[in-house]
This record gives sequence, C-alpha cells and structure tokens, in this order.
Amino acid sequence: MLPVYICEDDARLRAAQRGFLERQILIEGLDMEVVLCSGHPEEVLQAVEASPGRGIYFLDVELRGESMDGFALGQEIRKLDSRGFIIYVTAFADLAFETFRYHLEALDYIVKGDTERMYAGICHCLDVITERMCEENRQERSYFSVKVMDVVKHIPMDEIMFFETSGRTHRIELHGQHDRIDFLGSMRELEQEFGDRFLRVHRAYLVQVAQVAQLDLKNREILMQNGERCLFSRKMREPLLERLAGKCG
Amino acid sequence: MTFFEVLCSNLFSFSMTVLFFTGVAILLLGPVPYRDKTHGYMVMGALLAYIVLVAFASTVFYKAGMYSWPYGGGEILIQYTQIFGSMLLIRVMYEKTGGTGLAVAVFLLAAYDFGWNLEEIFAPDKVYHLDNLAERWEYLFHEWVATPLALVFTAWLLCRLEVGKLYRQWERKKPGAAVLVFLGLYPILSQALQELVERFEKMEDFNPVTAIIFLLVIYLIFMHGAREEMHREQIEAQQVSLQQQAVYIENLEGLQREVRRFRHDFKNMMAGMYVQAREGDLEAVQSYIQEMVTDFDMQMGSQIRLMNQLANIHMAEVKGLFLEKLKQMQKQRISCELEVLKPFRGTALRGTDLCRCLGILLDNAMEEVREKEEGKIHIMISSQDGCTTFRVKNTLFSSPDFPRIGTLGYSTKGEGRGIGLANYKKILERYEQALPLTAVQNGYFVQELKVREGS
Repeated sequence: MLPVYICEDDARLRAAQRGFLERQILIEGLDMEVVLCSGHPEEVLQAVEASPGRGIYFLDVELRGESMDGFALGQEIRKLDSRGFIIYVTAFADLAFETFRYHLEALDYIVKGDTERMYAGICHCLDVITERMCEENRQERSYFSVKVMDVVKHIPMDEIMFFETSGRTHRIELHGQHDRIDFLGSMRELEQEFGDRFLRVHRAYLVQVAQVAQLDLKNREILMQNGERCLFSRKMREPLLERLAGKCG
Repeated sequence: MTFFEVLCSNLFSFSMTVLFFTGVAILLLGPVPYRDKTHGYMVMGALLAYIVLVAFASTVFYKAGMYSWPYGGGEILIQYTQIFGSMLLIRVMYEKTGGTGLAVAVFLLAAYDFGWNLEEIFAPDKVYHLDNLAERWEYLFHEWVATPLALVFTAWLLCRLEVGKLYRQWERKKPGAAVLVFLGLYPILSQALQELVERFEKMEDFNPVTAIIFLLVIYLIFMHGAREEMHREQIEAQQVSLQQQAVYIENLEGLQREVRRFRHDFKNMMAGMYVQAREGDLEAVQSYIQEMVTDFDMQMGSQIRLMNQLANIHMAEVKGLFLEKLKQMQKQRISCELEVLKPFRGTALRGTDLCRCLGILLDNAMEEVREKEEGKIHIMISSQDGCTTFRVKNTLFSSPDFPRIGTLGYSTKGEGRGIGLANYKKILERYEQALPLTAVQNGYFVQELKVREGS
C-alpha cells in the first residue's frame, strides 16, 4: 500500500484534495491511503521519517509563512524516499516545472485555480502512478547509478556500450544507447564494480562484453551494437576472443 | 664668493625652482582656488617666504661646507627642507594637508630632479672654475637657460601624460601608510640609489641599476597595458548592457501593446458578462471568467514570464547572449521557454568560454527546429548546491546517428556543419569542473552542461 501525503497551506483546498483523493481511491479500488494532510512541511517530513518507504506526495509550491517552500520540501523528501512520486500543486500555470522535474524527478504538476481541472489533474496522476507500478513489477531492470555533481543519473545497464577516459583527467565518458554522459570517477573502481560483465580492452576503454557486435582484428577495433567503435590493445586480443566465444556458446 | 653673492644667486635659481613647483602643482591639483584678496596675499607671501627660507638655508649649508658631508647628508637635509616648504605652500594654496600634501611635495621634488638630471645629460662632465669668466658664463648658461628649458620640457611631458587625471584617480582612494612612508623617504632612497650607481660604476660594463630601471619600465608598460585592457573591458560591458537595455525596452513596448489590446477585449467581455449576469445565467458567467483567465495567461503571460526568468541571470555576458538568442528565436518564430528558478551568478568557467559553449548549444537547438511547425526549445538554468546546470532541450525531427554526434565533421545538417559540438568538447576539455551530457529522450534532443560555481 502506498501512503499519500498532502502538504497545502490553504485549509479549504487541503480538505477538498483529501476528500477527492479518498473518494477516488475508494472508487478505483487503488492500493493507496491518505495518511497525512498538513499545512506544515515539518510535519510531513516527520511523518515520512517515521515510516520510511515509497509514498505519493501532493505538495503545494508556495507555502506561505512556512520555513521552506515546496521545492526545498521536495529536496528533503527525496533524501528520505528516492523512489516516491512527487506531484506539485500550484496557483501559477507558469511553474518552472522542468527544473522541478530535473532536480526532484517530480511526476507532474497541477494548477489549482479551477477545481474541475485540479481534480482531472489528480486523476491523471493516479493513473500514471498505477501504470508505472505495474510496469515496474513486470520488468526488473538493473541500473547503473552515477552522481554527476548535484544529481544522480540512472542508466539501464543494458543500454551502456562502454566507458571512455582521456587518461589525463578523472573525466570518464559513458557511451550509451541514447546518452553520452561525462562524469568524474576512476576506471579501476568501475572495473571492480562491474566485475565480469565489462572488460577493460584498452587503457582508455571499458567495454560491456554483451554489446560487442564485431571485432576488426586487423585494425584492432571493436564495433559496438549501436555502431560506435573503440580500440582494443594487443594483449587483450586473446581474452576478448575467449569471452566472445563464451558469449556465443 | 661672499655669502651675499651666493644668497643672491640662490634666490634667483630657487625662484625658478618654485615657479616650476607651482606649475606642476597646478598640473596636479588644478588652478589655485581664488577666494579673496587676503588669500591671494597669503599665497604670494608663502611663495616669497618659501623662496627666501630655502635659499637662505641652502646658502648656510654651502658656506658651512655641509654639502660635502658623507653620503650626501647635506643634500638630503636641504631636500627635506624643500619638501617641508612645499607641504606648507600646498597647504596655503590648496588647503591639502597630511598625506596628500606630502605625496604632492615629493612628486614636485622628483619631477624637478628629473628635469634637472635631464639637462645634466647634455652638460659637459666637469667641475666649473667660477673664477674663470668664460667658464662662469658657461655655468650660468646651463644653470639659467638650459635647466629652465629642461624643466619646461618636463612640465610639458607631464601635461601630455595627463598626470593630473592619474593623480586625481590615485587621490580618490586614500593613500596607505606604507606608501606615505616610502614617499617620505624619497630623498634618502634617491641618495642611496645614487650611491649604488656610483659604487657599481667601478665595475666595467655592468650596473644593476640599468636592470632596475629596465624592470621599472617594463612594469610601467604592464600597468599601461592592464589599464588599456580594463578600459576595453569596461566599454565592452557597457555595450552589452546597452544592448540588453534596448532589447528590454523593446520587450516592454511589446508588453504595453498587449495590455492595450487586452484592455479593449476586456471591456467587450465585461459588457457581455454584464448582460448574462443580469439574466441570471450563472453558468455562462463562470465560463466567461474562465475564458478571461486563460486569455490573460496566453496573451501577457509569456512575455512577463520570459522577463521574470531573465531577471534571475546575474551574469551580464550570459544574459546578453540569451537576450540576443531569444530575439533571434522570436524573429524566426521558434517557440521557446526559459526557466531560471534561482538566481544564477557565475561559474568556474571563463565568461567567454561559457558564452561560446552556450551559444553552440542554442545554435544547435535552433538549427534543428527552424521552420518546423511543432518545433519547441526549452532552456533551463538551475543553480543548486554549488553547481549550475544548463539544459537545452529541443524537439527532434531528424534521427541523428547518435554515436557519431560530437565527432568532428559530423552533423545531421549535412557536410561541413558539424564543427559546433566538436568545438564545444574542445573547450570543455580544459575544465575539470565542467561536465557535458547529450541524450535523446522521448523525442527530444537534450544537451546539458553542468559547471561548478565560481567567482
């Protein structure tokens, strides 16, 4: 069961949201429950801290007279619940939502001016959450998580081709199916973290073995599944062939 | 020569010196403020007293043989007398006291020494026998014709170098104690330097003083260069801010037009609503209000929103760049949104490098969505926890050969275009604190740059 938290400084709106959510959960038979409805961000944080786990959060962006705004509250909640669903409720349609999504992985935002639209927004959010939960249950995908300055990026393991380093700096570039991400780190640590799944074929390259499409033995080049190429060193030729044979067999 | 003869000669030479002092003082501090007759008399009196005092002291020193004291002791003493006298004079003339007076007095003396030494270069290297009439004439020529000419030249040089302007700049910030002590020691230091020159003269072909002077000249050249550079930067910054203001005003005017139009519509709507309210059709009134709210958001929201976001960019160059690009997008009818949630002040990247990088990202996005109906660009600047994220997202129409993006010469736009991202990578290679990201996400092309905060 997913706990639902509401933080809204206007008492009437708070009651309206709560009433609608409870009714909706009942009608749709959702596996959720409104556990807290408050105007104070501290109360919400205390409640989340007391019962850790994944939750759904409807947060007001503008919390008048409180110690933190919706953004800061979202940041605190993320520290406690990294996989929860955060939905923002705002009076202004011009919310900088991309920023909220980028930093807090906020699910959506709802404009509260017009009650009908607000309810429709809530319904939509509940649908999306249900769908996501189903999808997650179906496929267990493993992710590679990496901290890039102030955010953590999650890249599905099966989308990673290889890691590249320029050697001189600590900068490592991840080559993925759809991403190209630079981050600071060490190749040795990555090697240890991944174990057998990856092979250090060259001083500058750490390759996911399953993603190798072809070997060009003459030019000592590897062609990856996505069409990218990287080099391998002479002494890695044998181990590489061995691993690929193992993969086929 | 008798005491009286020496005194007369000194009186004459020193009048010249004081004339020079006054001239240079006027160059530095501007014309003597004339207040009333008494003040005028006082200035004249001070000048006379100054001349008489120093000439008398100098004569006494000469007669007492103090000029032949070791290490130029007498010379130093007379120079201090002059500095003291100049300070009094400046006080009477300009009412400048303390540090400023001292600085000016030392400058006068140094300028005088410079002019005097300048003339010395052309004078023959010998001791005049004043008893010999021909030699006395020669001496007097140097003393009373050549020296004044050199002094006039010095004054002209100072005037050309706009020393007054420099001085006034210097005066604006209070001179520090160390500087004043250094200036106060001028007579002693110059004497010491003189000693040094003479001491090293004994060694052939080598005199460290030449190196010192050369160093000084280089330093001056550097200073000059730095000043020019500063000036240039100032002008550039001014241009950027002018440009910004022009765009800003343009925006405000657009906003005003919109308000005017909305006012007109608003009146009509109100009239319509009034009729419906009178008929008691509440539902219609509600839908009317709804329409008005949306209209307001649609019509005026976008401009105000954009200006609000721009106001959060506190780095002039970056703001200028965005203003420029947003204007271009408006012209090309590219729909664009900008989010700057928190104030952005600066990064560890050099301003020019940052602008080049962002320019490349924006140009790429604009190229992709140009002349496309559904094309959209979204820009986010977000400063959080000591680092700033720049994120440019655009609708993707062509499907790029993603693995090859960023390699030199590759572009979705055909031959010879793919310099942008390769250049971008090259700039970022120099910075450890800047991390780029490119991704294709749900039909959007996303370019991101994360940079640590800097000064």
